[in-house]
Amino acid sequence: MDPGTTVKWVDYEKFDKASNRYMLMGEPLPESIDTHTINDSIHEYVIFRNGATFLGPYISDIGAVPIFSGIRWASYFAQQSGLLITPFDSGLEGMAAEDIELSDGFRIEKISLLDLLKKVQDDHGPFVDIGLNPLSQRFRQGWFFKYGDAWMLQTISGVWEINQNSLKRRDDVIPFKGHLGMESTSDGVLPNVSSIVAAPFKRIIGSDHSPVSEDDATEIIDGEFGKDKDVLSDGLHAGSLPSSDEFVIAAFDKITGESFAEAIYGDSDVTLGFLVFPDVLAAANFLIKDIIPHDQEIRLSGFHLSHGGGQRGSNDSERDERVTQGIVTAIRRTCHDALVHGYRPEHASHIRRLMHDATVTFEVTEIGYFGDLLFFGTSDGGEVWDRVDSDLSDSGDIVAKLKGVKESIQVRSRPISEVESRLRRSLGSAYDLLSQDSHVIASSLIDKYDRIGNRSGYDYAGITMKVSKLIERELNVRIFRPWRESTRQGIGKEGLREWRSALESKTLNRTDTALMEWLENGRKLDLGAIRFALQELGDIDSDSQVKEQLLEYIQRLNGESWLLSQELFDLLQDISTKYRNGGVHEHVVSYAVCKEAIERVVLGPEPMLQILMVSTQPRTSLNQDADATV
Amino acid sequence: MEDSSDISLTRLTEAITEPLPQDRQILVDTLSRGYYVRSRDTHEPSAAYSYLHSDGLVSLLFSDLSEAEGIAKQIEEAYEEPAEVCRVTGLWDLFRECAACGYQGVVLDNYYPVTLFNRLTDIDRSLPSLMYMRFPDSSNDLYGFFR
Repeated sequence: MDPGTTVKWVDYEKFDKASNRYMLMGEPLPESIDTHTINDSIHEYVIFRNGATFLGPYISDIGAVPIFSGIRWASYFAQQSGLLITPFDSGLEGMAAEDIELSDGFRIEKISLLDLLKKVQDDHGPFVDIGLNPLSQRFRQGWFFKYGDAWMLQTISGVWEINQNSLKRRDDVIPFKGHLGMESTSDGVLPNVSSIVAAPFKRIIGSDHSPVSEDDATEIIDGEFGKDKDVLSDGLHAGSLPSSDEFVIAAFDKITGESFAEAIYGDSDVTLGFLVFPDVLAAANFLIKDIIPHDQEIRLSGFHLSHGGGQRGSNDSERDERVTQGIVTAIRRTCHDALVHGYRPEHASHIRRLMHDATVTFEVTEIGYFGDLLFFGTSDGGEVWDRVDSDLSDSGDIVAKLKGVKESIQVRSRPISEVESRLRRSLGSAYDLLSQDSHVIASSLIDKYDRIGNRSGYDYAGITMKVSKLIERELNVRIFRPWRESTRQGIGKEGLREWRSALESKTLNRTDTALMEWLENGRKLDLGAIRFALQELGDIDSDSQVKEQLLEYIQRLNGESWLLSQELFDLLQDISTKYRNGGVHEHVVSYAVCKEAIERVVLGPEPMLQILMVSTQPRTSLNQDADATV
Repeated sequence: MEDSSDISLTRLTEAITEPLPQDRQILVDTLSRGYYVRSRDTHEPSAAYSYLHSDGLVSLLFSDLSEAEGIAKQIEEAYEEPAEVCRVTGLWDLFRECAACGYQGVVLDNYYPVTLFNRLTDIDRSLPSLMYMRFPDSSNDLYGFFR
């Protein structure tokens, strides 16, 4: 193989699940943190460009302060950075930090973790990152960030709050920036998912849907990429809100961190931070003509940052030319495949991955037809309108407009009738009780399950997590939201304050606290909290006004006995642990587990979703009479 | 004519530090006829960590059956899960199975790392299409090779 024509096979999502399962077993790290750092003779800590390799391209532009969980990892980092003089062998294990010799006045030092975190924060605020065990094995790596008053550590097993002597899992905390290998939760990246854009190549072949032949595709690509046209004026164009059949890319410079949309359009013309193109071919042409030659130059010659640091170039022009040729060929093949077999969002995902793996300057965060991003959501699991700056005077109008476009796409993209029929057959009369959003979620997960089929090695976590989301959503919509509304109306703010003070005088009960926070400020109730709340209603502490009120509300529903039954608790337990948490954190979810989840919850016989919809209907007087007779 | 299996077994009693072009084939042959440990219940290859693979875990391969059996016992104790030793029947079947389980590669005889790669031009990169094998302490120019 020629150097530069291969790329390491990396699937961080799968790697992390395996490492979590066998090495971490749900813990933050394989061993406790014995905090060390590397200092020089002048400063109390030193910033390294590779000081937080866990963050990958999301690292702050001047680098990060590295923290190590043991002497061995500090020594390894020093060795890899060319600083270690003491030979790196197992003898390091028993040595004290001061006995390890580093060059250039550097030294390894044992420190207090919280003191160092505070000092970096005081000196640099959030502008310098803090990494854990950079350059060591990924399951030992992480990064620290401040969340409110507390310090958090994100590792591959999740986010952990740092207390004086312990780490506590915080699933509710979402870090403010991504990391290397951050999983994409958008459905648009799943294989074989169709685009919602009816004519992705309308500029070239109009609205013709018939497949393009291999020869025609080659001719189209040669014509598009061979043209010596000005990409910026001919293809790329600014636009505050793209239309759903335009192709967009959000990307930043891996070296400076600067957004490409801002650099090209200027601040004033950027609302969503996207580069906008008429179609995927124009976007590919932009990458080939504008980005990749510049990237080759940086790979070859390296770069220096104005505030210090940088990276040496390869000085191997032949190799870098081969890399460039490889990237261009890969982009051409992707476009060719899209023309011949029909464009799918995974074509865009492939370009994103290619740019991530093979370039040193261009990191793509979102890519695809704008309609697909609206319909499937962004890669971090959010919505396109989450990108709208809330400080903009017309942000409300923009969000409303985007939501409107999404709704019209959803109506247009109603699931195929066969999926609809299956869902109706499974749910019976409960089918009509499903909300529009749940309808879309349920249909799309059945569609995906059918389409992917039984594929060896495939991770079905994306589907089982949707199953979990569907139930969590319906429980919230059908029980907890109306209960919150009726309670707030019934007792008012004053009543809530009284409940809060009564709660504070008691021994802390997590369920009471979670329910109280839900009543007070609508803080999200996840499936775990819902399960505990329902389970504890059978054994209410006489002082718990919150739970009494919830029980009273549930007693007014059609299926009170099922809602408080062991059968439901067991189901919720399986959904939380087997279908959701297993998929998120530890295991590759197999076809068998996915099939079980879909049959138990959606397709039946007697699926949970059907029983849930019927049970959460308000009880009518007829039901009450029937119960009384029983 | 000397039997190639004897060559490989002879050569791998010691690390190959001055590799020759033919040593590449010896390593591949040894991998292809090696032993690995898998879970008796799920048939997934067992996982281990390797300092030569920084992104994820690996599966261990052995040219010697008794060494594989010793590791199987250790794995049973560590993960509290029944394990068994299997012969490699198809090298790429095993690599793709390891990749599907989320392993970054394999290590032969606790010494020779194998890392999985794709061609830059591969459209489907959900699984690897190339292996890269290294001679870790190579004292000449032959450091590693793709297959």
